[in-house]
Amino acid sequence: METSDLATRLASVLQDMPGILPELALTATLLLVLLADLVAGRGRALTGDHAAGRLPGLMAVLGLLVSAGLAYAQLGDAPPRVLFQGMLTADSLAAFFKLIFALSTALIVLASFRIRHQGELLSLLLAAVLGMDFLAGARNLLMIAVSLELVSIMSYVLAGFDRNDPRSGEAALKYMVFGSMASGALLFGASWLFGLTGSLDLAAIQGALRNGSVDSLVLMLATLLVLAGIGYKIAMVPVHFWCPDVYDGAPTPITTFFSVGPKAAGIALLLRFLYPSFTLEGPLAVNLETTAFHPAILVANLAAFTMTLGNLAAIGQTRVKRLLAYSSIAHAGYLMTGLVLATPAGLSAVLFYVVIYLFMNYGAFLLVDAIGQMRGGEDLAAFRGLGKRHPALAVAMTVFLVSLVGLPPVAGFIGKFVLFGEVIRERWYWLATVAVLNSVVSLYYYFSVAKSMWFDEGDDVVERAPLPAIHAGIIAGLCALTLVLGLWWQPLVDLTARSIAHLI
Amino acid sequence: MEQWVLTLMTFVPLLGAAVITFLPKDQHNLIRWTAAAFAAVPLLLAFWVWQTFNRAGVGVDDLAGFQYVVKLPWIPAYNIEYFIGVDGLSAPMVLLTALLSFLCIFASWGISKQLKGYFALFLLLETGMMGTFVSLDFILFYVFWEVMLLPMYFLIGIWGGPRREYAAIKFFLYTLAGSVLMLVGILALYFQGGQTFSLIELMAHARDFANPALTIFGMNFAKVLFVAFFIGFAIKVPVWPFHTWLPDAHVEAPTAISVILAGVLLKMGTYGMMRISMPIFPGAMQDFAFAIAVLGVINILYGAYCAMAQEDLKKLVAYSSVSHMGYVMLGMAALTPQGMTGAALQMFNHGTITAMMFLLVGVVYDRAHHRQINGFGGLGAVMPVYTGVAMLAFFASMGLPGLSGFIAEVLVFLGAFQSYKWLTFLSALGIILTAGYLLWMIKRVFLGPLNEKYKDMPEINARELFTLVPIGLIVIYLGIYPIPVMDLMDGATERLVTLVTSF
Repeated sequence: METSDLATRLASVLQDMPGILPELALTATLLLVLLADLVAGRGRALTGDHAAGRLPGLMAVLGLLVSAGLAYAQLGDAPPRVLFQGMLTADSLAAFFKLIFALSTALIVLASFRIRHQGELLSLLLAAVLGMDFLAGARNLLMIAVSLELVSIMSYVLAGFDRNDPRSGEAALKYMVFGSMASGALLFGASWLFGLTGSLDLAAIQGALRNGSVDSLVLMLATLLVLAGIGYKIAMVPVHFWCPDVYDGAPTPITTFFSVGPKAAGIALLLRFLYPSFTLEGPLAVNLETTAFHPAILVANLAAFTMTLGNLAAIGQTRVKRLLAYSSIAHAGYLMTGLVLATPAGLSAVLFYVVIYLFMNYGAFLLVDAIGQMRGGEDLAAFRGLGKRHPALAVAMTVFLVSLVGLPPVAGFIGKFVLFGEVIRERWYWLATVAVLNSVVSLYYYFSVAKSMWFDEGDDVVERAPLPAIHAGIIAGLCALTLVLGLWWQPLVDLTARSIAHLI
Repeated sequence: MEQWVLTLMTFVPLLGAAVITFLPKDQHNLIRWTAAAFAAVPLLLAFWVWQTFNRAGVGVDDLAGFQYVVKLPWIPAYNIEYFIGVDGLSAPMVLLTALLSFLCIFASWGISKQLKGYFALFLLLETGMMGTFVSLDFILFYVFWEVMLLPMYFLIGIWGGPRREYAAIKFFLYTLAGSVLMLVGILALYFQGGQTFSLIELMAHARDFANPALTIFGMNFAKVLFVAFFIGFAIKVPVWPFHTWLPDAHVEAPTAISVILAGVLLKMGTYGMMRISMPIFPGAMQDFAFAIAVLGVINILYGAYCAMAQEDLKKLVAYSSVSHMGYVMLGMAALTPQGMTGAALQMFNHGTITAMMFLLVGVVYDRAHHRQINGFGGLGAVMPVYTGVAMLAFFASMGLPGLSGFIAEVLVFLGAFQSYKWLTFLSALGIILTAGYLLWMIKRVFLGPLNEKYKDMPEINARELFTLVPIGLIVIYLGIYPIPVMDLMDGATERLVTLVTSF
């Protein structure tokens, strides 16, 4: 290799650096947190000062906020840029997801101060977010595989983070065994695509598919394999079965993290994969549907199965964490309805739903975490009599539950209104009908929690600890957002519209 | 300034609910009187609306005929507006809602468990009901429609009878199943009807919706949506075979909540058909009118037969509601001016009469702690005043001339006979059945030998009389001179019939 060639390459890499500023901020934070943990650990050992233990956590929050700010700055009307010889794309869509990942993880860090081994926890979380950020912008099969592994391996360790709880270890093992299979499927499918088209670049693959005469059966098999790999991340039926066990076994703040972050990353990846011309090449031109194989119908059916199975399986769950795990499967199904559409407005609706899902689902899971700390249990019995003993908490939980069902006047309704509205605009009436009837089913199990809180007597429930102030603050904030967004959601419409601005 | 009257009526109870949550827990009377004060405001305003309402205005699909209209942008991205107003269809319902809500605060005086929660939820419920009747924007309507469900669920589930949890979730699931279908319908209308949620503007698109080229699932767009909306409304009415939630909910709910359920909530189903289904899908309404009339007759007869078989007094009254709402369906489906006015009037009159009946059941239940019809006997001898009021209510329910139930039923029959002779003939049998189950019940409860257990039963007290007498006076007054309410609705009902029949 000649020096001048190397120099141009280096120059181009350096030139592309501003495109990954949020990721760079995360990397810097990761290193600083490790260092701070070392110092704080010393300080704690020397002075016995407990507050010093929070230093790395606070630094992580700060770093995540900086990353979120940098991602927000990338949101806007600037045309999308291709970085690092086609590995990544820096567009508003990726910026939107990076913003969501950073903000949601900052909340998780705040909620997990009580977990021991802060340094390890934080570095794992930050590395997972880094992987998710790269996934959101990936446009090359290699990049996808590498970032997906980064997220997955961090997640396996996070699931098993509570070393004293055998369920946590079991969760980690299950997650890893099935996860490795899913990764294998994805790589296998990707290699087929490479073999069929001779390229790793998503846009180039699509171009080749459009021009060449690829056997549609082979293409379908390859797509199915990749879909299985990505679907695993978002807990899509039929590759969802890990989800209840892992969500149930992992420490609750980690479960909360799993339920939104990696899932949203999977949704972003699915978008890039299914509609490359749509998300990478600017205005909606041609998508995979122009080939002999129609992903829309496949995704519509998968969405319907995912939401129906998630909701039906949630009925009869007595552990609230597990119940919410099935509910998150159902919500993945709702989100997928937006992926069927391949319209800018449909995509915007998916982003809209992701934000609302983040608020209400975080609220519900963190409240379960709070109850776990206060009452030492995460099943329905631990919620008994909450309405009388802690009316404010019970009201907040009711708000989250009502929102998850999708009833007005709270945010969940608006999410469904916007998302299913787009489904109906594109005349997928059957899918919309299946989706709304699913919300009726979901009412039954969500309100089994409400029933425990308000109707059942809980005078015998022993309370071990008061509600940590930081938890109360986060829950109150999420509850307020869920309520306000239900009545005034124009700002969120504007945000999601900006995120897809260059697609229209 | 005065156009804000409807907004005040809708949101003053909500404010009351917020105030009540900040009151001290053990100040029971303070909580009760605060609730009463906040429920009195809508009543006074409703009375003022009734006084000042311009009887010449028509309404339905003509915005100029609506009164006290407020139209403000809410979510511009989706063209959603805060758009409210009243016409002849909604004005009587608003009056009924305000009246019953106020009286029910007093009927709830005996509630002792978690008072704050009860009255706060009750006022929230009033906001939902009022909002539903005044909304002219579809999303606003839907939001209020759903907002009612939550307080109702808790009111039945916390303060209800022994099987309250089952009844509460059953009510919730049934109504939600209907309303989500409605949501799909609303969105489909939005995207086919020029991207508006304004009911008035959607009515102007009626011809576009009926266009045979427009299909859903291979069937006519308007017809499919009509059925979707019909199911949503029918569950609320409730129309057979969607009625099974009603006896459970009514029996388990506390007295005041039963009154609101039967008096106001059931009317939302038929109100929705008049306000939404008929003017937006006039063609489909013509096609389905006969089917709706048949369902109405089934309701009348099936409800009456079921009522006759009941051992529980409250269940009897609940099934009588099923039967009486059948007249509303029949009157509506006749598509004649008399039938429509009869249906609208029956909605108002049934609201008052059934409210009285549920309140009366509550009075004996508070004393005897059971409602078994065969468990009483000869109450007329111990409680003469109570029996007098009860006779008034039951005879009004039977449709005795001189009481308000009669006028509405006669109008319904007059209207329906022009369209469906045999169905009207069959439904008239319902009158005999109604007389049958009510008189048989009166014989077992009030007449005959005195049940020794209840020989010291205290007479109806002043507070209970206060809840019953105003409604009783209205029942008598409207039975002799129904014009004050009829002239509110006449213009609108006629307009509605022309709208459908001339399509």
